[in-house]
Amino acid sequence: MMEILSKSALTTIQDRGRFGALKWGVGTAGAMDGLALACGNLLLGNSEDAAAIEIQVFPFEARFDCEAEIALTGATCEASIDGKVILPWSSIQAKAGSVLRLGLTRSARWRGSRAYVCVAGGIDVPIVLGSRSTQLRGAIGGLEGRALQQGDRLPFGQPNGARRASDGTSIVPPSFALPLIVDGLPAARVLPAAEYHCFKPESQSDLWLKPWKVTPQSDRYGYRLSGSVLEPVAPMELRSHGIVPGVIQVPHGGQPIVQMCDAQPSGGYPKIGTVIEADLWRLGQAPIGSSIRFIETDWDGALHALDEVSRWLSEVARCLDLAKARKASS
Amino acid sequence: MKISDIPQIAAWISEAGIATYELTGPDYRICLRRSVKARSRRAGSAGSVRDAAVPARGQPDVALSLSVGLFLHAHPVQEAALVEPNEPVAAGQPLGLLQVGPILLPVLSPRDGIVASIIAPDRSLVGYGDPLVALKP
Repeated sequence: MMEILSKSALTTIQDRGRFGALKWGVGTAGAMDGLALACGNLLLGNSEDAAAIEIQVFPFEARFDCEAEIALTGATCEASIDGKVILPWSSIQAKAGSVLRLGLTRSARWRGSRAYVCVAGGIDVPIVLGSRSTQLRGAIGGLEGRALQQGDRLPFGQPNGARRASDGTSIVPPSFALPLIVDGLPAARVLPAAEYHCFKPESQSDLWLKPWKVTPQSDRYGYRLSGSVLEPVAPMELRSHGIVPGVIQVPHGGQPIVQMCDAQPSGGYPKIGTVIEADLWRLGQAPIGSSIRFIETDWDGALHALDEVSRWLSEVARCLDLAKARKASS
Repeated sequence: MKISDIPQIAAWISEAGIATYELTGPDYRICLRRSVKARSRRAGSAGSVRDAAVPARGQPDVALSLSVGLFLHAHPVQEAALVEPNEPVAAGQPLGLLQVGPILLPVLSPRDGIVASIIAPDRSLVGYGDPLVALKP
């Protein structure tokens, strides 16, 4: 068990996400940086569907009341356990009574905005519609369907007996291993969506050539971006239709909204593009106030990017297994 | 890879003091293991360093590389090096990182002490047994 000591708002339990329930109007939720979650679970030898804690407001503090193997991935923050520094993207053994503290996110190299605390065996909350992810809108999943509060106590699942990487074994974060930068800004690849051709040609080119700033009205539901005004050729009125995380809607003001993990399953604004699944984690880690760029891609490009991510994760898993085997034999 | 290559590989790993060697190819997999106790001292210039680093001979003064890899002074997400010369360190504290493919293995301090110098340059390719960080009392 671990107890949340800090009052950090908007901290939630998330796993990969709740898939297959969109047809009932239930959104996917899930980790905003699915790669960071996957890396934490690999370090611990967890199954890939194990749930972790997603932290986006710092500082965060928690106490372990039993020995636990934990991994910390995602945003670069000043992290320590009982005052001892934890290397970024690494795992460490917590003793009974250990206090984990995550300070503010800062780094000139890569800051990110969401940190993940994973534990061996995963955070064990009931599975709802196939997932442990907290879905705030529907108040389901996670701990009582809500964000974590000071004093909450979280049970752990049974570790599966797989070997854990030794203390301090770390991963080259995906922002370095799979970099995507345009003119010095982090970028995400985008498929033109159904109404792309209903926008003026200059708006279409602005989407690809101009920077987009992540405004303070950005959260797990969606990112409101500011930048050039995207104008349709003629005003559009659409009926509500199904949408998925990644869809870039353009409301009347012409400032785009990217739907994120807690997106509603339907909406009626025109869609100019869709951030590909393989790049959603890049947006998930874009801090408020930072700027991003979009790169046009096509269906094959989107699938290729997804393959690239899964190849990288397999390579991380393979090298961690080698390192774990060496630890066991030495 | 031919079966006749294996004795040469065995000689190399013996010379380098490597305990386990694994190689997987498209249609083969080789695993050579040696008894750790019987492993020989690394030949060549690192030999004297290795002698100095054997715990049984007293306080080790050098942290050696336990793998082939790129030696990093800082974690990729951080600007500051993990340790600087003249900084006190505790046994087991990471002094640097070895990048092996997509993962980073910590180079741990063999004892409490003070960093004398960081021997291997940042992002240099190092081999098994190479001296990485020197400690002073």
